[in-house]
Amino acid sequence: MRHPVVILLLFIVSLSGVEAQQTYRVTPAKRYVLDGFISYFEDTTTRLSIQQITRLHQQGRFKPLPSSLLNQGYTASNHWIHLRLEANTSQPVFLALDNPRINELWFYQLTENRLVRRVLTGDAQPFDSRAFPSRNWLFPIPLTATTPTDLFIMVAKRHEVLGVRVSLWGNDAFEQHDRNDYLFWGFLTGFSLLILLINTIAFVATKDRTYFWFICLILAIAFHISGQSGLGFQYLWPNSPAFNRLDPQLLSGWLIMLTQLQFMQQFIGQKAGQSRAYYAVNGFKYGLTLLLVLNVVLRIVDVFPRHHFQWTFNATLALILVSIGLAFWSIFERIRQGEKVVIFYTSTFSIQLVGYLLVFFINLAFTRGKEPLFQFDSYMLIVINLLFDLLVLTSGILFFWFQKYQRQNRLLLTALHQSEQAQSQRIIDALEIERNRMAEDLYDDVGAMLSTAIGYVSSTLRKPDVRERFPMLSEARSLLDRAVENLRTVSHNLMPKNFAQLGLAKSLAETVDKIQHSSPVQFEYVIVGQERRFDAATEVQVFRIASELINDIIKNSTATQATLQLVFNHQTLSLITEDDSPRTPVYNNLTSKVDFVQGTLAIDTSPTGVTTIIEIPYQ
Amino acid sequence: MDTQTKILIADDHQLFNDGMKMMLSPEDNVQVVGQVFSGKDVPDAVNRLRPDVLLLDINMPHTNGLDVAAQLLKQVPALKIIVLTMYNDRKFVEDCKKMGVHGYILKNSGVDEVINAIETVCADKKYYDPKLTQTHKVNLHADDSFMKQFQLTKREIEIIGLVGQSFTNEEMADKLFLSVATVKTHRNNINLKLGINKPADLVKFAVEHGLA
Repeated sequence: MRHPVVILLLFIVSLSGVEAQQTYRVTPAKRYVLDGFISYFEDTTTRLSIQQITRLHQQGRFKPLPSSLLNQGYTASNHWIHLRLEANTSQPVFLALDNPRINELWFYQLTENRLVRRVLTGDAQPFDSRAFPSRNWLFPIPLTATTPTDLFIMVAKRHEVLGVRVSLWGNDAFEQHDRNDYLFWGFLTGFSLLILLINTIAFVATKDRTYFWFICLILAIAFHISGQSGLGFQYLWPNSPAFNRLDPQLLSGWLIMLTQLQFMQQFIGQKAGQSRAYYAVNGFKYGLTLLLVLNVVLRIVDVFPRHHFQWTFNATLALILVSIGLAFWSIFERIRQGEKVVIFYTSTFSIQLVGYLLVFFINLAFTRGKEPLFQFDSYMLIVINLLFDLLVLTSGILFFWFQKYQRQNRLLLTALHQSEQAQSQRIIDALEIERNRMAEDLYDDVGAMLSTAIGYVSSTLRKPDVRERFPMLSEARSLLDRAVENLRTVSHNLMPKNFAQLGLAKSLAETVDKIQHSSPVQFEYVIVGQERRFDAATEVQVFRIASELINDIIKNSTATQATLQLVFNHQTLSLITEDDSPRTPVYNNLTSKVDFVQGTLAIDTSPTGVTTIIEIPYQ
Repeated sequence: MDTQTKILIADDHQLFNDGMKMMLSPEDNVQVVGQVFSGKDVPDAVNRLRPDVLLLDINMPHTNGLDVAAQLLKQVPALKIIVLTMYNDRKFVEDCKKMGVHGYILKNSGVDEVINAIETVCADKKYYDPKLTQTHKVNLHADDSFMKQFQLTKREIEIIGLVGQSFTNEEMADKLFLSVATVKTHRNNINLKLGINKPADLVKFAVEHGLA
């Protein structure tokens, strides 16, 4: 990261006439730009000692480095860099090498060709082999005013991409930078743990796998970041340098791809029967898992020391492309349906994709030994992506889970309602059967008895003298006749005979006919439209509703004319009665009957009469 | 009648069956030759006792009275069957007519009616109880043939007239003392009955038929 340029002192000191490198004069300042002050030498034999190296330096065999970035691409050599420092006053400075994953790093501090300090470290050594406990390589260097200091540093990454930036810090500036650096990492860790905690609680509460895979994804990303940044080695496996050999930063990338795809499948609900991408994604997941295991085994056994990293790296880039392709395929299968879940995932994924692509290109540049377009570590992008994931995806998951919860609630309520309805239906059916039986018993038994009595009375009345002497007997006969008629009406209203066969319309016609004979009200019965049948219970109820309306007209009104219409509309059946008797109608339980058939009731009273309209929806 | 008409009474209701017998006993021209209380015993009794007229209740339990009647009509063509029942239902009446049952009377008919029925069927005529419901619809506008055709009610015709005079729903509601919802319902029904869906068509109808 470039900082404003500090004033440089050009001071050419040559121990021998051939030396072309300049000495860096340190003045009390914050951070020092070393561009142009570093030289380097590549030892392809990997066997040269420090003495041989210093000799080579004196012979001028070191080449100047144009910037402060040593970028060698794939290499197996020992790379030596040299820096000479000089100060006006005694002050401590910090030398930093920004690449946590250097396998071997040897640090030599010489003053007037005498070895003052030596540190042999690297990520192949336990963590506490370092000069200064930090995720990066830091060397505190006390400078004296009198003599310049020569620094020789060997960095090696066997058969891997070597790129390291060298920087120099003033003591105070370094401490502040270091604190800020760790503060940031601390914040990130804390925040991640908080989000993980929320998701864990949500997972335990709802048992929804989406949360579990999200947690795995975050852990995979965190693992990757810890590997790349060196924090993992510092805090998680400081005494197991062998773990660094497994390229955790790369393989964690594979884990990220795995968990990302798994999470995606859960989040958008990609299922076997409904998606073709499902099978491809699953195949990729299983293949990747196998490859991962194979990779680890090969590395442990060290089958291909020269090419292993390169192949793993290239495979990673290729796998990234495939996994992105699979993700987009899965999304496009569903995007047409406009589901909110899919749209949400697409947006977040696309934003992250920009980050991943940048990572891709930066790493690609490094492998070619070229300067990448963007002067920042690729894993910073991963960090940003991680924060993005934590915030946005967690919110998304919680939101969509809540929606699902509401939907399930509604379904449960509906199921409950239906179950209650079914229960009431059973009760009503039982009552109907009971009523039916009662009607038959009533009519058959009582009716038959009344008829018998009529028979006797009429028989007695055949004798003319009886008719004269006992006029009341004729009265008795008419009373009995009326009793039978009433009984017939009541029984018919309770359960008309043959109702199921005749249906609603014809049964009502019979009712109206029967009433015509015994009532002064002139009824007009109209059926409009194509008759549609309801289920048995509903038809009986509608019949009872109509009976109720007719009953009120006959019993409680002074109507002379009335109409009863049964209108079969497209969506509903309308039952309409009109009469010419202004009054307030008295109905018995009409609203509950109308409710049962899920109908609507409208009673319109006016000075000219009453109009009652009932609309019943078809099922 | 020179000889008495032989009657067989088939009814599961003991009281009624005995009552009918007692009712008919004083009559000179008829003679009750037997009583049957179960539907399955009827054919056998008919064979044994050879009545002229069978008084048959078609609503006996466990028996389809109509089937028994049909069977007997075929087997014993000379037998006159009078259905005796509590039920005044159109369907039964129609079924009996179709089958060729000779008579149909309601149980609450007096003895006069029963004797009348017996005499009529013996004279090879059909006797169907005058108390049975007639299959007619009481129509207030029997003289208005097109109204009969469309089955429009008086109220609906009023409304068509007002629509023809360009009344709005609200105005019609006011004039007829109805709610606007009721007026709209009437208009929907009118449209359904006349098979139209545009208000303009209703105006046209009103004008064409002189209602506006």
